[in-house]
Amino acid sequence: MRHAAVLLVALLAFSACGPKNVRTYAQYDLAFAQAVAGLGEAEAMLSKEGVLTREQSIQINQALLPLSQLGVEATRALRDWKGGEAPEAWQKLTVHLGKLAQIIIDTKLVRNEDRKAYLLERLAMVQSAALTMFSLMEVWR
Amino acid sequence: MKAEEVLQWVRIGTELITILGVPVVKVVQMFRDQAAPTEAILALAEQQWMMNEAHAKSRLRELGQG
Repeated sequence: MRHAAVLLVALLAFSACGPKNVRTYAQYDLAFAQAVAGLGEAEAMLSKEGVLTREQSIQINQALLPLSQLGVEATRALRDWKGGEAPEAWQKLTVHLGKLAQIIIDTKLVRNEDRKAYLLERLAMVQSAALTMFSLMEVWR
Repeated sequence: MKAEEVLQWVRIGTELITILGVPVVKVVQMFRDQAAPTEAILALAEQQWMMNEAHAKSRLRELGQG
């Protein structure tokens, strides 16, 4: 039973290599987009709770908007990407992600600073998905 | 299905969870994802990004910045 499980994991790992690279990128891109959606939901929820000010919410959404627009571009670029240097949209995405992360890290929540952990957790998920994506692009270029 | 068979399946499931460190549902999902055509996954990702864009725009409108 244990051998079967190990084999299963190995098969899943190897199936992601070679000509299936684009599929793997697509899966991580989807995970990345879903993580960003989670961050957007967290912002809306904390705003509703009154721990984010209107200005803070505006600032976060003003950073989420270009990131999401670049996400659309980056996904489209993946379709035609044949390897080599990461598509330009992905490089721009990295820069915007850095700006968003800085905004969230600098945000001081009103009344309940403990709720910031929730926001940071969502940011960590976004960064983790992005990091995996960029690492794969670097390894398989 | 006999009770012993059910127990056997429960044992197999538990062992899978223990060994892989992930719920069996996740494993099934991974298989399903592997089987999905690349184009379908890309279309889903694009759709999710567009939904994120729409969500940010909608929030900005709510906040008076539309």
